[in-house]
Amino acid sequence: MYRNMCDSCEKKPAVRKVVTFNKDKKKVQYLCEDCYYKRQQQATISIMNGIANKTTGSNAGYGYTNICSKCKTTADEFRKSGLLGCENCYNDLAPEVLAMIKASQGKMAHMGKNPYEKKKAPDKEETKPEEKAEQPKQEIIAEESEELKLKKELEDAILLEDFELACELRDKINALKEGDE
Amino acid sequence: MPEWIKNGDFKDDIVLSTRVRLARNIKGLPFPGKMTLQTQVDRLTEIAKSSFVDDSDFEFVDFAKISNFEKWILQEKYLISPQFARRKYSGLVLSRDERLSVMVMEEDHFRLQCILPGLAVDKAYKLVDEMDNMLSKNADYAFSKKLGYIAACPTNLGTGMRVSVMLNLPALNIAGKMGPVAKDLENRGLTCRGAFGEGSSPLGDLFQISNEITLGYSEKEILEAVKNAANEIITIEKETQKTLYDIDQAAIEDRIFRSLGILKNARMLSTKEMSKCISYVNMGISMGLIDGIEHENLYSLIIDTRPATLAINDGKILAEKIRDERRAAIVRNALK
Repeated sequence: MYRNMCDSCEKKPAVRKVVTFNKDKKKVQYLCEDCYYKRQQQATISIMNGIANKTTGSNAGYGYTNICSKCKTTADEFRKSGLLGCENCYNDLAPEVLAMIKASQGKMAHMGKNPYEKKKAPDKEETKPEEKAEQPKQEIIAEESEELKLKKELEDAILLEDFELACELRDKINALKEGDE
Repeated sequence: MPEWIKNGDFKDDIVLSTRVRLARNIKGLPFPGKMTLQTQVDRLTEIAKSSFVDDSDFEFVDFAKISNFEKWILQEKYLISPQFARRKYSGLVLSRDERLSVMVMEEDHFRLQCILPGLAVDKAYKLVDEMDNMLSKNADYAFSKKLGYIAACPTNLGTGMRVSVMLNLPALNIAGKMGPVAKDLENRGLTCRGAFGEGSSPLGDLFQISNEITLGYSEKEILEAVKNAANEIITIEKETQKTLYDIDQAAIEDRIFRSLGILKNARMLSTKEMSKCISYVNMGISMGLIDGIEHENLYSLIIDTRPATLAINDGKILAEKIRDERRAAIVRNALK
């Protein structure tokens, strides 16, 4: 076997380097494109599930389940049709949606037109565009707790594909919950 | 001839049409696939009507009031998608020149479209962007800073914009170069499809190139990418036409003039045969071998002879044999 074969399938050449931390122990893996993609998807889902399982009480609505709490679109439906039911699906079906965005889009950041930036000046609207866009989430959780902040950071980390940071944040969130209990 | 093709600027004779489409949704409403309340549909229709129809340049086509046959004709003119043609309610805002339209309740709440003859990427975007601004005055769009315009399908996130250019590429097809061209486009985040969009097989030598990626790039970057790709393809198509002619003049001239003969004389003509002949005659005009026929007239034949448009006065689809006869008659008449 060649030294530069994929550590996972051992069949294809390794083109990606993955570094993971498990309790301060550093682990380096070299993967092929296919295994890397599979790993990314799994990592996203397991991180999301890790939090969903820990989520209880008033914050339950924020959890990552595989059914949309508003329009009842399921992850299976989405996988079959490629279509979501409402805005809220982007929160509730996050792992599935993110996987699809990653597979089909260029970068994970909007660079184009913003309808609210232009509107702001003539209409003298006081509400900020971000607040408007994030509204569905805020309806569910009234106060922004430390935990929610971390969750938002986690979401950003996943969007930016920074899985190391995501793991750290997940551990922090879980530690916070254990502290509460 | 469809309204939108009239007085077209076909200086790049290889390009049939340019289309820019935007996907937009209203905040707080479920997407059309999950919409169950008539009041919600009415609200969307109202927004579209109040944004455009007061303006005398636009009219509203109510889908509850027109027949399936009429919807089919709209589809053949590239004004609506096949999926939208099956809708029983909602409707379409359409400009008098048919170049601008808004489908209400397609896959997304609003699909704004501008279709122009020839290669006119920037102009088409400018027009559709103006429509978008008009609509946004009455509509609170679902938008996130991170993901851009929220769409029912994540493949339309970001700008929500799809730019497509339809090209007639006979020489590249004869030379067997369409495979490599498609591959090259793919590497640049673009895609090459048959004439009628996703999943359709090429008709004649018509190919549609469009952007695959909508998120992560600005409108300007996407427009430039499609425009540059179209211009490059035009250049290599012209080069290939020249090469083919240099290699075997008689063979190319035979193809072109034989096609012209068929179009001018056939008594029965299938869509497939006609499309192929139109493609070669078009190439003949570009190469300066044929005189006296306008690209505009040839391109509009492709639409004028499709099953429903062909039978516009009958109000129903005709049998295949009658269609082929009638198609041949229309083509003969147009090329007299």
